[in-house]
Amino acid sequence: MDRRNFLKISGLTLAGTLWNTAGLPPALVRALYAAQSAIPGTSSGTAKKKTLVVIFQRGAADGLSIVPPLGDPHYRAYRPTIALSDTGENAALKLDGFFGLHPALAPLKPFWDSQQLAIIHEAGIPVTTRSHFDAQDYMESGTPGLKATEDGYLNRALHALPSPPSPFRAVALQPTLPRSLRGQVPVLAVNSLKDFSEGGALKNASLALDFESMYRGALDQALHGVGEETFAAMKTLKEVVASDPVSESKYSGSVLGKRLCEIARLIKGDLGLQVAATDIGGWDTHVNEGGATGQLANRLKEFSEAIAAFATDLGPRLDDVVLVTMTEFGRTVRENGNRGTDHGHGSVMFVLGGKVRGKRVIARWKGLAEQNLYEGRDLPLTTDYRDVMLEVFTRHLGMAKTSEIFPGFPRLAQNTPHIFR
Amino acid sequence: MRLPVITLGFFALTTLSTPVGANTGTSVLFPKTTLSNEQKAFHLFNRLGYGPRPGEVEQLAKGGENALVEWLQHQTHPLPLAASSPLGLKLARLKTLAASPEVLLEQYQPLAKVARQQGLEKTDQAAKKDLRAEIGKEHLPNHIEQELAAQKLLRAVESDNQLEEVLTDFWFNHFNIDWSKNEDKWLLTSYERDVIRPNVFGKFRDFLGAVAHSPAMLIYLDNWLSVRDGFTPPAKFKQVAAGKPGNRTGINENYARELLELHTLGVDGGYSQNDVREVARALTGWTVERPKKDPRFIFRQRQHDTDEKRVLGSIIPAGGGQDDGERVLDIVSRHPATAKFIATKLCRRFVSDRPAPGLIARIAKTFQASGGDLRATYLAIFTSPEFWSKDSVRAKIKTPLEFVVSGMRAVDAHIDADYSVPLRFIGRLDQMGMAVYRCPPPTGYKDSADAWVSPGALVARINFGVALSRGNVKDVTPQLKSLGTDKMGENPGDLMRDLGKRLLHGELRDSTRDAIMHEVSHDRQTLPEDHERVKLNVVRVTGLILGSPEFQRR
Repeated sequence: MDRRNFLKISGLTLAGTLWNTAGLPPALVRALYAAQSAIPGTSSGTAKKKTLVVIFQRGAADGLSIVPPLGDPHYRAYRPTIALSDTGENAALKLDGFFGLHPALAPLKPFWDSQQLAIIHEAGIPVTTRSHFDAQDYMESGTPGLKATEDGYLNRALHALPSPPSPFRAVALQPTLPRSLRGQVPVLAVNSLKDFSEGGALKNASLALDFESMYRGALDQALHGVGEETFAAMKTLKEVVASDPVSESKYSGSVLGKRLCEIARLIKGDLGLQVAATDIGGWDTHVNEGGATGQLANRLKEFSEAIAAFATDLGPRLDDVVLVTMTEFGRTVRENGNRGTDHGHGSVMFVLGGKVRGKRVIARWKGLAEQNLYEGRDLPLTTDYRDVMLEVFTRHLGMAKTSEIFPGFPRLAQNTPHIFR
Repeated sequence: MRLPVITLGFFALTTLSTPVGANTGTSVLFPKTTLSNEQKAFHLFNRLGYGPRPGEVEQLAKGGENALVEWLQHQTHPLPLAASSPLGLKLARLKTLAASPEVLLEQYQPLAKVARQQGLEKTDQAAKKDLRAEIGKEHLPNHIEQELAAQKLLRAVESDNQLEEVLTDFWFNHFNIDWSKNEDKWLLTSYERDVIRPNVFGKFRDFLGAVAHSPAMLIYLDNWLSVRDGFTPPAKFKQVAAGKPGNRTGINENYARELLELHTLGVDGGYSQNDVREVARALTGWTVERPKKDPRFIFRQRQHDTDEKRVLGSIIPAGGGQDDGERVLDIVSRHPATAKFIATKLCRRFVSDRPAPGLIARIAKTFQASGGDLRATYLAIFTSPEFWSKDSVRAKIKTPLEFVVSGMRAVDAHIDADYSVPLRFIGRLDQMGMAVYRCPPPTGYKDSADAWVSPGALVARINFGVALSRGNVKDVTPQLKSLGTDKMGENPGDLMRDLGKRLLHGELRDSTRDAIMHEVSHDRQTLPEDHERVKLNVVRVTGLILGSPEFQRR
């Protein structure tokens, strides 16, 4: 179907009226979204105002160091120099008597304690490949084993999700559109919302107005429509960016922090954001991974500070948000000769949100004895990330129909990880 | 009505398929069209190339149909690029372009590997940083990609063989490989240079064979790991860590599936999962000697499934070897679905997003009748009434690459420096959604408007157009004088009309005109000197036109 038509058809349904918000002043658009989300019992009731944020940890993050099984008798033997301790100054934070949390993740501990953070261990994608490229590709397309899938699972989810035609329905805060968000539903992919609305020649308001009228007059359907969306989006974003100048100072200033800060602004601005995706690299710790301090710890510090600042910044709005983290695969259980770890299999996912049934490590843990390991070397996979996402799609975004998001992968009750209260 | 047109098409085709002089009864080459010679020339530059440089359209139009045919002749039979040409000299500075994969693997090793070889203390981050500085960014693997992307942009902007550049891009995208996949970092240069580029005017079967034998594709789609069921690796490999090639067992269908779905028959081409399996079996043993050391194609009989295969109704008898794969390539390249699929993609590239079924059928027929002769197939498209119809003029939205390159060509941009300049364009292309050499799925990038118009991309396009006209793209100098601005009217209205004509060879829409007039007139008080204002207005109007909806189309 034509993309523009799709947008219009799926348009803003408010009390049975088909609205088209393009061209309306930004403040009015916002008011419309806010009004709509306040109306109970509209077609997709629980979906209103809900936002999903996905962070992809590129490079295969070491789940075994992020959430170490402190109580497993084999754990330390496999990792003589990088295992975390459960006592002393740099000890892992205690979670449930068996698992610990890497000390660099301390900023996330309050959310664990307040039961808003759930951890899924031995999670990932069931493919045998240990190629970053292939595993990321499969995870983001959502069709493990099938290469030619053009769109991504998040875009297919958006396609199946009724929504107002907001230019901010889906946003990727990274320079190029991630594989997971490719597809039919238009996605705003920008490195920074600030650059988008205020960078380049178009920051000149008069020039922007002239281009706007130029595109408004374009005969061309495709360009006319996208022009309208673009200039409306720019104006709205300028307002949004200007509206909350202090919030940025609550973030640590890392790239991930800046991106999450902008996502928080979109959420707080009630702009109809449903799915936001971003990523963070640097997890491929083959050499000198470090334990409580070092390479991985530095990455985790940046990671956890940004996420904690985001959750704090959202305040009560965290109830409408679920943040999910994932990585393409985990790392070897055994430390290698370079005090690092090599490509493995299962890893760890975090799910953070106001309505999450937190303070739990979800795992079917059999222990690290060699016979329990995948191919005798890796953490096995006991939760498919697709089961996690399917529960998020249904319970958080309120989707009734999810069958096309992961073709050929049915949602089975016994595989539901039960992340939500 | 249709028959005479086809005859004309074939006549044109035979005339053009062999090098000819100028007087070959050229008046029949163009099907009845209402386009003026200027419009025809503009259409040719936009479709067979990345848009005209200043003056090229006018010059070609002046020569009439003879000149147009000669140009078509030159484009479909390009002469090799002279090493002493300005472009040749620029390309010669990019050292990786001529290097073999072996040399690249040897000379552009990953930092971690060099550190290991030098016995660096693993924990010594400072030493590693020093090593990085010592090696230099330009000796790490990323540099290979940068130079490859640089040559792509340099050639697209500066080469006279425009069709060859367009086709190299088209076929690379058809047989897409992502730079990030494992050893393909070191193989992509050779893949484009030795597999794609030499075959774009050849026979499809040869092209398909070159791709199928290329280590780059064998690695990208994993065929190098595909072995017959029950194959046990020799004992010496058994100790290799799990997941490494030594542990491979059984068939990997990736390449077989994409060969059918994306390279030949198309997704609705009438093959079954069983065909995929049979093709994969036929291709077992088509592998790579040693991807990191000696990335050559090699056939390993031990890994090959020697039983009978049945592919798309044809039987490949038991007992075969490497030849089984060749039979598969014969079968799929001759299949009518392949002719239709290739014809559709070519028509989509050269005619419109939704080419007429009648056109596709005729082009597919040419493809089949000529034994998959690609040059003949292109010519059938270029001489079709659909290609020359008014409806197909500007029917295509430019891809980000087409937009950026056509903008550079339109203002006769001079690129001053080395590979680092095109790098900035790669950044711009990323913002527009088209990372060069970094399209992960084997589908390649889409060739229709819906893939390329989005708010983020549009802002990036407009900003690029304006920055380019202002000379704000570092190391790139627009030469607006080439547009003949010296002789253009000084009053903004005349200037706009003249520049519009030179850049777009057609009328500006009222809304575009109004916006330009508003922009150039609203602050005239601030510029007292008339000639200064005219100069500034040339820049402004050019930028507004490059960013306009009209310029987003080709």
